[in-house]
Amino acid sequence: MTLLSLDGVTKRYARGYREVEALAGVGLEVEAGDFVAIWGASRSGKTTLLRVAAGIEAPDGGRVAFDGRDLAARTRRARARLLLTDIGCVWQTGRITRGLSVLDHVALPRFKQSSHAQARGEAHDMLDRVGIPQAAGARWHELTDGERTRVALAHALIRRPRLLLADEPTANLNMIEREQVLGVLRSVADEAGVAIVMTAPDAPNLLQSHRLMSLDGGRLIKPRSEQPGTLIDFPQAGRRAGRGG
Amino acid sequence: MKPPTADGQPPGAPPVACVVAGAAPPLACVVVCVVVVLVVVGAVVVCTVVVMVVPAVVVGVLACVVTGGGVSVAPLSFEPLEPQAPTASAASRPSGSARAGARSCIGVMLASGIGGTGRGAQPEPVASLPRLRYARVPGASQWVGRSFELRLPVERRQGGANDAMSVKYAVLGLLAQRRGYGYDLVQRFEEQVGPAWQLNAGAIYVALDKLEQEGLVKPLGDGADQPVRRRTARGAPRVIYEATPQGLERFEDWMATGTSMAPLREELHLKLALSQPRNLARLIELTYEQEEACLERLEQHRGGTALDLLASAQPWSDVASVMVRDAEIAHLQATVHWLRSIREAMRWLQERPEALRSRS
Repeated sequence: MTLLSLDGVTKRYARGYREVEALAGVGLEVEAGDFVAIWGASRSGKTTLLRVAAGIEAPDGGRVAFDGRDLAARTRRARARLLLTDIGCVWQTGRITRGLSVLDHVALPRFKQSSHAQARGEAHDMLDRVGIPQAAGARWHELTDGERTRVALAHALIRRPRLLLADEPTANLNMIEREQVLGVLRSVADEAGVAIVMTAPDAPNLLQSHRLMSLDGGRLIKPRSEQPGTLIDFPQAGRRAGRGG
Repeated sequence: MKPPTADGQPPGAPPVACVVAGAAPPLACVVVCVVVVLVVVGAVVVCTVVVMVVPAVVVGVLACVVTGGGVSVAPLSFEPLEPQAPTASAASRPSGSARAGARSCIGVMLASGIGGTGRGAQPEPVASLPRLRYARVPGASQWVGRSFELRLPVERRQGGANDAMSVKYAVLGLLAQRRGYGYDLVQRFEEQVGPAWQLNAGAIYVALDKLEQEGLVKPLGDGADQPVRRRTARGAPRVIYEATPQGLERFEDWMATGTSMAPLREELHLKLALSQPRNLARLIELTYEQEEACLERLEQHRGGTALDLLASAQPWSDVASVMVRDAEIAHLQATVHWLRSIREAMRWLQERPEALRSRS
């Protein structure tokens, strides 16, 4: 069943005196358990795509539907609730809740459903899974960029979302850490059936995914069977006529 | 027999042969030779006319009939071209044009100035482009081409030979690992080298034959010098080969020598090189299509990198295969980066018609 669907989504920004086309008719269908990787350079529209998919920004044109229902048809409040329950997000510029330790920040979404001790236990497990158990007691300013991304990932995963939108979760990570994070994402998709849309600026990060796409100039490029494009086609009749003499 | 007379002439009426050979030999020889030469030259001329001119005229007439008389045939006459002139826009019409015959590769080449005729002033000699013979006649609605061959410099055309040579040594190397038969070698090649090579399975058998001729591999004998022929499931004979000591030595030599580099030949590069500013929109579209193809091939290479495998204590053969596979990943990735950068440049030009005009 299609969990997230984007259909002909467009988005334009005014950047100074120029208008930037961040998304130019993007169509994407993501099902539960799909691990979609989107490969794009900076300014290719990756983050905008994720923000539109999360319902944080409204598209200028086209339709974004989560779980079969148009996001535009939901109230602002309902969209915000979705972000707290069904859609997990990992942004590049994450922050932790002011005044909390990393462990409490990660455990926060579980505090309401379970006891604090239990939530903290889950948070420990989650930090362990993404490879930063040592960061549990740390404060935000003590973390490296790579650790911050992984804290955000643990925070997003602990609430067990149905859709995870991760904006360059492998940035600032070395090879081992990258493999660990990608392994977590993959296992979450395969075992828990979470749909994942991840972006990355280079290819090695993408080969763990189920589906691979490329974003450039606001256009989503999907692989398909190779069809050699022709600049000028050669109709047989014209060819023969041209061979005279 | 009578003795010859004093002047050397035989007595009695001399026969013609004697006249030719004796009394006036030089003159007669010359006459005969001239006649023979004339006959031969005449025959050659007649043959040439029959073989070359008649078909050319016939084909030309047919072409005129087929294209409604719009074509006049003038091989090897080069007229100065005006790429923007309406009659010269055979290749510039939108691809949906009704004049199906108006589009041709030759048209593109002429319009982009190949052969020195595209820039107006003087037709330049075409000696630099061997066997590129085509002509455009003012007022004619067609490009008329006779023969067309784009020749690459000789040193760039060795790819085929190099490929065959590489496969030969690959077969030798596979047999050095362990003995095997043709299909087994094909499979092991695919497995170890990967799909990027796009091996033609027939090349393995050709290589086996060559190696056997050179004595570098030999069919496995059963002691009585008869090759062991095992049967496949379908009953086809199967010859198992093994590398000879000379073969192993040759393989070691090959491992020790330097490697050559294959030329980079993409159809897109040709299209780009031969394009015109008016093709810009289509070229941008082509970069998208090429990127789709790259993604498709990248998708075949899922899994970790060689470095990951090194970390996880895998056997060397696996690590080596993954290293080879990483080469294609790196190539595809670089291609996508290149496509993105040329796309950006072309978009920049497309958005600025004034910049484009100064370049056309």
